[in-house]
Amino acid sequence: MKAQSYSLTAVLLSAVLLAGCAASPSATNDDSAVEPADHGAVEGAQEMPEAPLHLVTVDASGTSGMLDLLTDEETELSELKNIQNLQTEGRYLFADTGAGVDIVDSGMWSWNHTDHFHYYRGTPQTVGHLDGEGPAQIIGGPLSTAGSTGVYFPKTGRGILLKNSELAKGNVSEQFTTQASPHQGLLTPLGEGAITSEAKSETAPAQVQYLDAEGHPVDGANAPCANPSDATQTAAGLAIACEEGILVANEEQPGHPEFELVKYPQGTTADERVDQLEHRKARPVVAGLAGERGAWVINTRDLSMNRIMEDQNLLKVTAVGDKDGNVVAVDASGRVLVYSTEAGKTTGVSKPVLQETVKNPQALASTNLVVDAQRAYVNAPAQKRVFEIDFADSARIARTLSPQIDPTWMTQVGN
Amino acid sequence: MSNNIRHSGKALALLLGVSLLLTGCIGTAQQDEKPSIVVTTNILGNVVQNLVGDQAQVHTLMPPNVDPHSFEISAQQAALLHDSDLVVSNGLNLEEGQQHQLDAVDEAENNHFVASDHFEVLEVAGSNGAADPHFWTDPAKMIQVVDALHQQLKDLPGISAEQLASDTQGYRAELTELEQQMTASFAQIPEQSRALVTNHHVFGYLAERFGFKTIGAVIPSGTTLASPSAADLASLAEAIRSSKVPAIFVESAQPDKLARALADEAQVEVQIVELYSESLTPPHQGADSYLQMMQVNTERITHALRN
Repeated sequence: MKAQSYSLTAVLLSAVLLAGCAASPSATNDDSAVEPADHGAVEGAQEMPEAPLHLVTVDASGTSGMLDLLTDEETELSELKNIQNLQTEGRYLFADTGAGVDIVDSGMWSWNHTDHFHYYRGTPQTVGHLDGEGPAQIIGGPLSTAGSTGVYFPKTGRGILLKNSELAKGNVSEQFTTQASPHQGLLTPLGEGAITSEAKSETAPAQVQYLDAEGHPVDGANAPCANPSDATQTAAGLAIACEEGILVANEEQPGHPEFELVKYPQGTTADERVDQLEHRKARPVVAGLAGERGAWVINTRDLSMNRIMEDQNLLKVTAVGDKDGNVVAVDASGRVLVYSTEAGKTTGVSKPVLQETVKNPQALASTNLVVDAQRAYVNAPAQKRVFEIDFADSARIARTLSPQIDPTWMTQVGN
Repeated sequence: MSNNIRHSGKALALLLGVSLLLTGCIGTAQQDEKPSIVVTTNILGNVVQNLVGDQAQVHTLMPPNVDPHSFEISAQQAALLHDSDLVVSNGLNLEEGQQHQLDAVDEAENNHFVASDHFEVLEVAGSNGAADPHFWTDPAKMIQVVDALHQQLKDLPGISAEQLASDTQGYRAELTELEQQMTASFAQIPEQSRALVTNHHVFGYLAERFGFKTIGAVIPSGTTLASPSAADLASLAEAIRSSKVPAIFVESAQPDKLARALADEAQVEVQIVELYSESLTPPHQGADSYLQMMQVNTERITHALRN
């Protein structure tokens, strides 16, 4: 991976020798020569004109690979066996085995520079394994080369905040760890620090608490939040799905987050609450299923929450956060639906392309719906296909992809 | 080309410049009696090198083929900035990732030349008054910057005013010649074809100076090109149709596929031409000096639009 930049460095080193710098002992320390800062130019990675979008697929045996959505080329990745859940923050793959997490770097990522993006393509590599007991809750940060990723094991109450700069180098290295009484909860990065959940105790209600970069709780930086089931980073703050509603945490001042709660409407029952928050990476509009009747669309910028498609039994949903306010869903009959919050109506319904998959509980359990700026992707494990959906064109199935490695599990990287 | 010698000189200077970033060499640089000039972008680095020749150590922070907007510097480079006799930067927020260190240079009241203080700033077309930092696409603006740089450089210790004046005069003459070449070249393009349909945001100054319209376009992402819908191509197809240009200047991972999709889905036949925008290339890779970058872009624009 680093061969190219080292050979350049070698040229530079010889230039140094010619120029008479040879006396310096540290002149051989080539790593320090053109060391990149957090992001921007990155050693061994090439800046690309557009996002290097790839679909990662893992088959039932654990063979794993990725399909370049621009060129159709396929690359093999290291084996990911016994997957119970496959997650990504856009670059790293976190394969939860129920007994720890295997981490692979896809080498593909985008870097959000607030008003514009930079795109990088590096070399995939195996990062390593993180031990744990039971399923893991994994929440990424906004940037894959800086900040951190939170991993929490509800069964043991252990949390590990991983350094992204180390993941980028192929190392599993923690910024700090947390230990709580076992509960449904999470550990999620926020700025330099993180937010951790705390179960209800004799003295305090269930809440989320901000921890500084060393993992120490910051006084007063907390908010009530029971049984948080998921969290995600948006351009307008960190969204956390609590029983009370969607809690949005923002760091106006670094190290001093403020919390705002977007409450569920009165009369919302427990099974209608959001379990998973899904959206196009970083966008402020987030969607979650409302039980068996439609979906919630939460805007973390204007702190609104609306219920859509209430007459539909949806199985998967995610929000694009584009100008049309497109929300993409899969319903119980295996159709892909597109709803525009701008138009206030369903703008596209596909044929029941996922019919076989939705009827098969095992296949449905590993079905994943993801979106980027132009297309949505959903894997149909029972049919060994991935459907590419043009949500701006009436839920048109743009491509039916058959990756060489069956899409038992599927996700998208490079964004 | 008249600047062959200059090319090889520049390549060596670049090697030296970067190699001095090695920690062990900073000490050597300080012992050197030549003044040390640190330049942020490689375009300005090349210009400054042409003016000072071997009278100063020119350290360019940004390696070739790097987007200046995203480039950030290392701790060693920050130290180099701090210890230099003169810092030259572009300004107008081009060096976003280095602003912190450049602010520190100003706070320490070190010698800092900001190119954008020396020409009339244009606004980015279609923005709410955002200043456009990409002045180098107009050689006349570069001449203004060179004249101002001359005044700043002559006061540096160890610089021969005579030699500097002579080298500046020589380079200035090449820039004037470039400007004339560009004017003559673009004159071959019919008036109605003088439009740059582009997703680059850097050609505002060139357009203003040489009478081009710039038409911004949304380039469909590569993933949509396998099976595009009319909506995916609408913005770009409309820009091409309304401007009636035979070529567009866009950065795309797959220009051939894009051209095919435009032909098949939007019935638009167009040539896709790449231009150099914000960075020089490594030596001998097409645009390793400011003059060459401008000459190549000029030839490509004229060739694409004149028929």
